[in-house]
Amino acid sequence: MRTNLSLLLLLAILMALVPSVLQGGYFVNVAIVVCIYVVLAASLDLVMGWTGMYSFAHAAFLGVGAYTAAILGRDLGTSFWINLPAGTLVAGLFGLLLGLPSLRAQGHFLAIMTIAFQTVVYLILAQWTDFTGGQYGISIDPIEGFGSLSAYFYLVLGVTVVALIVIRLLTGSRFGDALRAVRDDETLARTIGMNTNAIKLIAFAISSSLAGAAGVLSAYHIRGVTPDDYTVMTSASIVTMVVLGGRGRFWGPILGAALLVLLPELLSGLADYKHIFFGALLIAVIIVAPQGLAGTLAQRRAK
Amino acid sequence: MALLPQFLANGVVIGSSYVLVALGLTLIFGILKIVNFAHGEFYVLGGYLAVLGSQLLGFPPLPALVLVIVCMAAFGWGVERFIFLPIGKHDPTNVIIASFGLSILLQNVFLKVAGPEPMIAKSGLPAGAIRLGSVFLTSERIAIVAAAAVTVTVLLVVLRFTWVGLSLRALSENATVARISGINVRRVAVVTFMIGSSLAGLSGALMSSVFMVQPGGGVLVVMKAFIVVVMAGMGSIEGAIVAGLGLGVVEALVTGYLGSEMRDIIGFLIVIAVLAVRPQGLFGLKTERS
Amino acid sequence: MTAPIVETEALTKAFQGMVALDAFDFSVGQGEIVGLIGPNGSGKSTVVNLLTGVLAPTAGRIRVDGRDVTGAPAHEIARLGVARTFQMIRLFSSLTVEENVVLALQQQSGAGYVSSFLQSREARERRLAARAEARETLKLFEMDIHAEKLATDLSIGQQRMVELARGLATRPRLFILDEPAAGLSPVNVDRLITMIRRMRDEFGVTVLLVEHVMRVVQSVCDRVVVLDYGEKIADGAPNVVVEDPKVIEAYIGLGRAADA
Repeated sequence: MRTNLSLLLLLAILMALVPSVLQGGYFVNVAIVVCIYVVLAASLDLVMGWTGMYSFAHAAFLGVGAYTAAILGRDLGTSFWINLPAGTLVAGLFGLLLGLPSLRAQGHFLAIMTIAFQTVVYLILAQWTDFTGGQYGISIDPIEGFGSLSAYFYLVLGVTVVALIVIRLLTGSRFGDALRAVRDDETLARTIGMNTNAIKLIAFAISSSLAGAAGVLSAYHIRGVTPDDYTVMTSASIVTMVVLGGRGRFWGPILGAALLVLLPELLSGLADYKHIFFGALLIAVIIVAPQGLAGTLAQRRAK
Repeated sequence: MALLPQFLANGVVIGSSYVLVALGLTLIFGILKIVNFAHGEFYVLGGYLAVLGSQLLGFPPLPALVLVIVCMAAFGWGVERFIFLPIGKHDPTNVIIASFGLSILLQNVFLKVAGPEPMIAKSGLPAGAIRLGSVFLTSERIAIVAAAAVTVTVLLVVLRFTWVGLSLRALSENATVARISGINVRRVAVVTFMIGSSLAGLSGALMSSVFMVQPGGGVLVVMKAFIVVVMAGMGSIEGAIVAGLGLGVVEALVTGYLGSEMRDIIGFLIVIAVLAVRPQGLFGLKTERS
Repeated sequence: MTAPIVETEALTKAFQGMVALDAFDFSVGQGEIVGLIGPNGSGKSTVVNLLTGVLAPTAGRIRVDGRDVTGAPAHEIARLGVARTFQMIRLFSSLTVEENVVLALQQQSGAGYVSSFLQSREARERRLAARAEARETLKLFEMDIHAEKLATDLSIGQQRMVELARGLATRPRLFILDEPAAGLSPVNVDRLITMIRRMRDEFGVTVLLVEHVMRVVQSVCDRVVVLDYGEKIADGAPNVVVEDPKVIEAYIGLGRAADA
């Protein structure tokens, strides 16, 4: 636990050097996107890796957080400092909503439901033009005092570190034990006195609220929201990051997110075929190394 | 009320396609216990193959459909052999993730190869509506229903009288007993998967002459097929026929009387509701290992 | 007989119209070791699942320590001190043997989730205490040497002992053992018999033993209840019950093979 957190802080300090070492906005932009996807992948892993439930709707919560910030800003003129907690909270409430069916349906049924949920959220964002701006979306003003890109990057990095510490503490606590227990054997978990329904709901709520926070951060980064950023394709990208990195391990989703954001940037030809590549990668990882990079590395070391 | 027969007829047309997709899914999902999220993309692929056959190669309707069936069977064989088989051996739940990956992969391949613009297949049938009593239907729509009826009949005969059918039914009753009594489970699995893929592709091909084929069109289709399978009860052929037609008719009525804007949202909400209320299917039995 | 720990009144369960358990009246007194036997499909597992809240009854009542728990969820019944083992052994496969026991212990006496999240001193101390307690209990079953192994890496006999340790560690009011001798070698069955006695004699745990193996039932039970086709057909001392013609009929009756 201690070493993980120390390593995390060290990494954050290194990241913080990006704006001064690598000149130019491009690198800072990439670093911001890495941070946002790290939060997304790590939060999805709470549900998918630790609790063993399938959710293909993480981008929906990203969208709910982003649109909450955009709509509040547009209609009430609220600032980022209100919109961030509001987006987190509203996404968490939507997470509870999606968590409810998880109490009854499991495995593939839950997976189907999450895809349906993802699509409903997208259709609402795209079609409820009066409220969401339809395909044109809503634009967002920069945050006062964080107008410069590097200042905003430090803000995003700070939120990312806080989110990761929360996840690390959660999974290292009794709550983490409970998640693993639900994943291993839900009936047994109940029989030893665990309220598994509450555990599953809370897991969904925390996971989606963190995705909502990431949504607010990304909305302020690209200065606006449009529905096409929150499709099932985005959900699939996050799933691929988690699976590639390694489910149910602290460093797994962090590694997966960093790799899959950086790879299309490094190989310029790949960007066009990103989703094809992600889909193929998802299948390949499941066949070759279902435990992901982190899981395979840990196994190597154990031997 | 004057339009009711027309709405019902439209419902039967759409319902026929649901029956075909759902039959493919119920064979794969209900009997082989493989959850294939990419089944909707199989449907779309069938549509593109029909466009390819009828527009680019200039095939008449029947050869075009044969092309679709053969290609889809081959495609199904490859997917089963190289994706689902290796995963299923280790951890069947991972099939969920892999088939989700396959669905994403195919959608984006369609987008790259065929482009985002919707396409339509040429049926080669005479244009114009045909009047049946108070109902007007184009010849393509009538052909869809007829082709679906023929396919379902053939399928029922195959399931009743051939070794594939007998083995399949044995397998759905009890996989272990089936294996002990000498049924080659591997061979049955492959053939079933090929039949299921062909049915999805055939359905997509038939519909492609009336409704546009587009890269993301499979998502809604697979959802509806799952709904039909769940309502019918896993692996129930007769149930899938009834539920598929039923869903088509209900949808046509909703579209006719309430308008089409909300149709897709309502469709997805029905998916969530059905699964939340009765996850084991309307006719399925709940089983709990003690 | 002392006051009952668990008591059922006309307990009934039907699956899709099939009656698996019919108006079952039954009780287990404080400190008793009661055997529940019956041929395959007689409703024994249904009784266990009803008593532990895994299934909800169709009709009738269940009381634990005089408190009505009919239809209560499994985790609430567990928190009242009803522990169980499973016919098909169930252990958390990604946890070590010790973690399996600690997890069960923490449901009873662990720190709150919030204080555990904040890594408070109290939470850390309680966790250490739970680990010590778990080791202690594992030692009793001679499983402390395997504490660091994954539960799934043990043999069936060892896993069974871990299941018992998991239950005993929580000092249950009632410990339900669902066919604990299934799949055990004769040596391990002897050990099981010893441990069941010790749990009652040294720790005062009340035991409900659901069993196929007559040797176990006859050697440890104070009282035996016999089920057949979902109905109680006998209730009494082991040596009396095995002589009961109705019981003999049920076990070796027409067209049915003897299970015991």
